[in-house]
Amino acid sequence: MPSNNTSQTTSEKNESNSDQPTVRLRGIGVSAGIVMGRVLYFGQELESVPERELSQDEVESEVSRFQEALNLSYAQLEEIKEHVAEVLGEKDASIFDAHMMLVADQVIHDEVVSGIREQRRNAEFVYKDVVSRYTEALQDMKDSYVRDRLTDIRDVASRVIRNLQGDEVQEIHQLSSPRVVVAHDLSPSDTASMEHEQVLGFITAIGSRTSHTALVARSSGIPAVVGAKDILKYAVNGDFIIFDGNRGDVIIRPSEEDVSYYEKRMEEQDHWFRNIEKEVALPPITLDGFRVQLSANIELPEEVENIKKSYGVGIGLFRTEYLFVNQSELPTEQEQFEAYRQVTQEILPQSVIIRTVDIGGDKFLSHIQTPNELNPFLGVRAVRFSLAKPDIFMTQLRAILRASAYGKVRVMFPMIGTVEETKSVVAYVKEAQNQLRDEGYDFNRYLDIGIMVELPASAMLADQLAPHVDFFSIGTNDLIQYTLAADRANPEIAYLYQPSHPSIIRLMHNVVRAAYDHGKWVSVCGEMAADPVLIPLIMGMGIHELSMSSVALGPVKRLIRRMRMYEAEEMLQSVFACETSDEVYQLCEQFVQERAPELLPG
Amino acid sequence: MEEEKTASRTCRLNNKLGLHARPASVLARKANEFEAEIRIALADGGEEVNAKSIMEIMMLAAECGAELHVTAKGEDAEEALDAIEQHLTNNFGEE
Repeated sequence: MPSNNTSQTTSEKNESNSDQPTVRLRGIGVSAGIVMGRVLYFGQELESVPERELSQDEVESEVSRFQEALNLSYAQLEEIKEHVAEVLGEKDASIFDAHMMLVADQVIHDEVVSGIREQRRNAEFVYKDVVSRYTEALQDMKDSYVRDRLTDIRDVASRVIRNLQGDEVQEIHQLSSPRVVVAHDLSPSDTASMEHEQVLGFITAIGSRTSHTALVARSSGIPAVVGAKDILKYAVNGDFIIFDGNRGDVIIRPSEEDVSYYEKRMEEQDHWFRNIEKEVALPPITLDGFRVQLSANIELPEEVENIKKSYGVGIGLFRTEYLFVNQSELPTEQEQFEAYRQVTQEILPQSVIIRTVDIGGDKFLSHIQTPNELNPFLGVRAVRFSLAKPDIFMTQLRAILRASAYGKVRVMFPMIGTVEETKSVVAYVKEAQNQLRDEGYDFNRYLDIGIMVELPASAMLADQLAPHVDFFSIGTNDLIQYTLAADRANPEIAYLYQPSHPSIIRLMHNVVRAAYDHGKWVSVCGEMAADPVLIPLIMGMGIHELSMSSVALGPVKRLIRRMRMYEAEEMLQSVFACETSDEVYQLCEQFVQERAPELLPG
Repeated sequence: MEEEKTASRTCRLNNKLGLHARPASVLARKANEFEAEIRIALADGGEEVNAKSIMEIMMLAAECGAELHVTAKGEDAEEALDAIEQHLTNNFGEE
């Protein structure tokens, strides 16, 4: 996915606390919320270090200074390792074993010590020189997975250098006051090493909606902007910064006008959230008595606790990519089983729909060689990947089935386009059930099987797919992208990505009719369900099950409680006459304006 | 002076991601348990590296399936090779 839609303007306004100009950047807003705070740079760049010539009698004390810095670095890493082991477990903490080994590496140690003695140069200069020889050699290797090793080496080397220079190594889990974490990118062990209470927000230079930073940010409710390309060029430690995790705007060293503008917006947001929260416990029932089934989409099991506590709804879409992406090894059946069981048990008495892995497109595994596809979104993605890798697919199905013995589980397959694929995935489920039965495992033998309808092909073919499955879930993001052939991350054609386009409404309506003709149920789990303005449209089609990210549950419920089902059905009739998505959107907006105007963006 | 024992063998690397930081650290830690000097090179050519140095191991651009030539020199050379071979072929205890 292109993530370089960064634009930037600078203004000459000076700030009272800084002589540097204000800088405005735009990245991709991936986790909503407005944040103001000071920057903490979280980086692995090798800073430039001063070169100093030593006199002969300084040499040995320089050698011991180097050894002390190594000892200190080792001890710091040991402490981080313990912290991460507590938060994430031993397996994820083991990367710090590797970092500790790098600090303790005898070859590097010997090279640096003899370098200090022979060149009579200061330790940081020699150390950086030695490490750079290795990093440069790695940099020349073309494999991206080999280059990943650079991150580990730079991370360690920059720690040693900071310790040599007597700079306080800012440990993110020991911050005295919350900060905005600014980085090139963040890995799972990076985010695990942070106390989330100490993090006001994340801004990274690279990334997309599905990168690790975005995932962690959304699941922990931390605002974030990714893909802010030039952030490292302009923002330094301690800079005051404002960003909007919804729109993707970032302002480094903002002017007074900026500050007061955003303060006002933060107040409005606060007020709005408090209002919504008051209604969280009320049921999602329309004024004419229709009860709508609301549920939440999750990307990480940690989200369940809050969803259960704050909203009391089930999980309509449990994305399982996190188990596969950014991991050095494929997840085992047991690991997957434990993750699925945890969510299944925690969400009880509600149910969970587990979606098999959607890899490909913009999400790739680091441990499987994926062919370079000219057009990955039209390539080996989602269920096509699963069907091409039967061992990985079976492992996941077995884990899901085993979890089904512990609560209310349903399984769902992404990107189905044909009847053959549908029959094939159903056969795999049966095969997994047979295996588990022979091995004596418990599982739900009547497990509901559903498919995501997110290709125009499956939307058109819904009547022929329906007999093979128990339910449909319409994935609007991809349905829109594939129907209108528009990548919404491409700013040049983002205008074509239109959720209210008449073609989308016709396709969705077709799916709903086919499902009901065959006595199957249908839900919507794309972002369309999270936009209150489009809710009357979806409900007017007869869809009464909506799954969305948890932050949208409040606003959507507010509208449901202020509208009547038959009014939405009436509105849909006028929608069918519309030629453009603007016309449709205006009808919807008017509908919401008359019932819950506070839901419309100000 | 007694002549030092030297032994060598060729093993296949089965780790899916190759010798990235984690398996490299396991390998280096294991190598450091032995007295013998242990060196590794890609069997089809390339520079030999010190198996006791995680940094040098990471420099081996060894991918999954690569054949590695391991040489050990010293009293416990054979034992060292057994241990290294076991780690390489059994994925360092990872799955």
